[in-house]
Amino acid sequence: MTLTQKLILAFMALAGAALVTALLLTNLAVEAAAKEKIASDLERTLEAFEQLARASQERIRDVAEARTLDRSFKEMSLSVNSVDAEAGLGDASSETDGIISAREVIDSADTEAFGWSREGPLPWAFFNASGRLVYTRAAPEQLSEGPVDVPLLSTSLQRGPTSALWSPAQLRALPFVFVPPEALREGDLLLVHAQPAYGSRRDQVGVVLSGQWVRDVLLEEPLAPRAPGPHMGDTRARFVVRTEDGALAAQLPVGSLFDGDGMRSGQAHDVYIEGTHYLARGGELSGVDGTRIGQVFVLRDFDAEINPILQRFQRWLIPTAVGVALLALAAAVFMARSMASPLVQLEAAAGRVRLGDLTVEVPVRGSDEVGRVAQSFNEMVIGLRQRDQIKGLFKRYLAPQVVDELLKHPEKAAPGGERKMLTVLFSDLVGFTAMSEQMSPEDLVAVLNTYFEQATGVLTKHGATLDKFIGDAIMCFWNAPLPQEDHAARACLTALELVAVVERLAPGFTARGLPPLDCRIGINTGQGVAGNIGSSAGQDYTVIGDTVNLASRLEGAAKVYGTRTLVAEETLAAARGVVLARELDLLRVKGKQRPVRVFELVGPAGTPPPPHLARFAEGLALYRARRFAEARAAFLASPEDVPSARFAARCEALLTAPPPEDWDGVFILDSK
Amino acid sequence: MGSRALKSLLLALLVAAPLASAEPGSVQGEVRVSVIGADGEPRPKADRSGIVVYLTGYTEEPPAEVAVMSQANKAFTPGVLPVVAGQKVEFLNKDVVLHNVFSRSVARKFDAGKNRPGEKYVETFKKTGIIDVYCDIHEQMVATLVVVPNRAFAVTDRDGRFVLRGVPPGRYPLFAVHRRDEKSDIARAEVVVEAGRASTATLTLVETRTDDTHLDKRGKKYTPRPDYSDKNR
Repeated sequence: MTLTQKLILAFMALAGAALVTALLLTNLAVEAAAKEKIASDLERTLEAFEQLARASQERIRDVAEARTLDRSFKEMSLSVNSVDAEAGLGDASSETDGIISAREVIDSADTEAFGWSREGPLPWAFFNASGRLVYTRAAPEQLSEGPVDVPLLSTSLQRGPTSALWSPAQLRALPFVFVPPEALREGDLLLVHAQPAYGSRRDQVGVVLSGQWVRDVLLEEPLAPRAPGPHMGDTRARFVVRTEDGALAAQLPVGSLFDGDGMRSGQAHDVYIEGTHYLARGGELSGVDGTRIGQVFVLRDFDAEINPILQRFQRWLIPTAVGVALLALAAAVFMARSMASPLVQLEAAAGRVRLGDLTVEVPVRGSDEVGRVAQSFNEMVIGLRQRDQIKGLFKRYLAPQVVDELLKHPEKAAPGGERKMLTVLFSDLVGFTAMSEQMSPEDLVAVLNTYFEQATGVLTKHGATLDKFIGDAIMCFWNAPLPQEDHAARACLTALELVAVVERLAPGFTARGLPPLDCRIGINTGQGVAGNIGSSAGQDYTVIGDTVNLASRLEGAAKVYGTRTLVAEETLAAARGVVLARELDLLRVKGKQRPVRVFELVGPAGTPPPPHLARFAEGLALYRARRFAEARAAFLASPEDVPSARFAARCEALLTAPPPEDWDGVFILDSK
Repeated sequence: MGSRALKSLLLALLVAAPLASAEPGSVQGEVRVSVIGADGEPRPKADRSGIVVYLTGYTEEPPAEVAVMSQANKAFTPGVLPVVAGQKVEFLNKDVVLHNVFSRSVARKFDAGKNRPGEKYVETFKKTGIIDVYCDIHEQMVATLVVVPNRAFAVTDRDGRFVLRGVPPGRYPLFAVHRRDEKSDIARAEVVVEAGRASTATLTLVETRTDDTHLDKRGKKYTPRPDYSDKNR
């Protein structure tokens, strides 16, 4: 799986998670809002119900009041109260007689004033002003001996129209029959209205009790119940009316949900009835006189209420979600591509670097991690390029550790060259030209390579910077590019070892019948310029200057003295006695004014000086004192020493052609 | 005074005590009537006549004589008539027009039918109570019979004074009934009657309402109806 795919997947997962979260949260929010709305709807419904209850009670009151003004009622009520008792003139039967005569009026009446109705008898009862039962429609023959103890009656007599909610149990417990037992409705409540009746002088004649079933008055089922469709729940409000003693008249099978005081007024509650989630709210049910007669609860099917809202919400939500998802996909693809493309570019660039192309550069976009990686990559390539350049520049000349050192501190290899003290060594194989003519090219190369292999080993060992191989010649130097304090000593020791290499190889040559292999080495120390010199196509780290030229000349001049090494005085002085050397001459090479004191290296310090060294020194001193004859004798004393022989010959020549008076003992070398 | 005399006096007192208790006392007093004026303040009523005062607690045989309530000038005379339970009352039409006497009161319901001038109707009231008496022809004709249990009753004079005589000693409730339409104002007091003495009692009534209308004998409102006077017949 590519990074792009991963990123797309990750983005899509993120977008999906965000979308789902948003969906869930919105759903929750919608649900909560809907709940709040339904709760406030409930409150309004409740208020409407309470108004309805009030209005219907007022209607009941008005009807009851109107009926007490009915003529028949007035006639009937005339005899139910006797002032005789008050006047001390009544007896046990006088009130009863009045009541019985009132019943005659009621029985013979053809009005609805006494609870008669076309639909059948209504709960209706009349009590006289002392609270004694005059008539009850449910049991016309019933007669009470004294006042009936029903608080509602006394309340009504004292305060005017009032009402109450009576449960069937309460109705059964009444001291008179208000509702015939066969007409009692379980699960319903009787809304009872107590209407005081007044005589023509506004004096109380009694109280009319009339009852109406709550289901008939307040909980009427709608005429045509809406059949709940598959998507439309039943959103009608359901009501539960509860009396103060806990009896219920309900439009739902509420069971014992509304028992106790768990349901507070003014607050919506969640209730579950037969697996349906209802939101319920309770309120007070007040009687016609404003007193509390019970409680009313309104319930609405929460799911049925909320589903249309959620459906409506989902109807626009789903296309939106799909749109957002598509947008997220597009954005994810775009972002993943734009994030991965630098990495792809990096990958391609890295591939090119692997193949050695250090010219690559990836575009850096922005300063984010990817940008920084690209930046680092570029820097890495630049670093590689520098390293490559350094390596390319120095690997041929320098020992690996020097190269490493340079790589670590590239600033030490100052570009453009620097002037500094250098020790330069030139080495040349003697007799090589002659040898090359006698050998096949293959052998020649093999021989040269053997030599160079060993010579390079020596150079490397002493930290020489190999400048170049010139045919069979080697040019190398010290103290550049890295400073080397003991550069002169290193050069001297190198020369000695190179000589040893040649001496080791020489027997092999001689054995093969080849000319003897020998070498000449010139060393000089002095100021020179070291640097990368060349065109942009190819540069060499090299040294230039008089110091270099002199070293080259000294190598050539060694031929004059018949020595393998010829070292300038500066070198020897700088070597500080690590080698044993013999002074050979004062030499003025071509193109130089100042003579150079030159020495031959004899061996490392501590080498026992051969006996001819002392004789040579003696001869040299005599030679410089123009005592050529004596000098020649001294030189001739060491026939095994080539320089002594050369000096002896020189003394011979000077004896035949004496030098001018101003001869300073400097030997002038005209040839190169 | 000798001890013998003293003994005989004490003996006489002992013997006389039950006899003395049998001797009736009397109750006299005044009924105060106040009227609620237009300003809502009660003030004494000038005319305090026609208030029946009686006491209950014992019964007596009714007098044999027949009490008379006559109808004249489209009015009952007297307007208030106390009788003892069991007493007969004669309603005598002294008027020149046809009259009726009826009552719908609990204590006694009756309807005398139509009485021509000079005719009379006798009704016996066996049961105590306040009986409103009306004429079915003339709405303005209103009277009250107060049927009391004993003869200790009186009707006040203009000053509201009354005297109840022949009351056996004892403690009794004392009532004053001031006839009003349909419902009378009733005052009650306690009185203690001692043998041979006159107790004093004051009853207070508040007349709160003016006279109201009443219904006819069928329990309907009076409608203008022919006078049935003899001239018209």
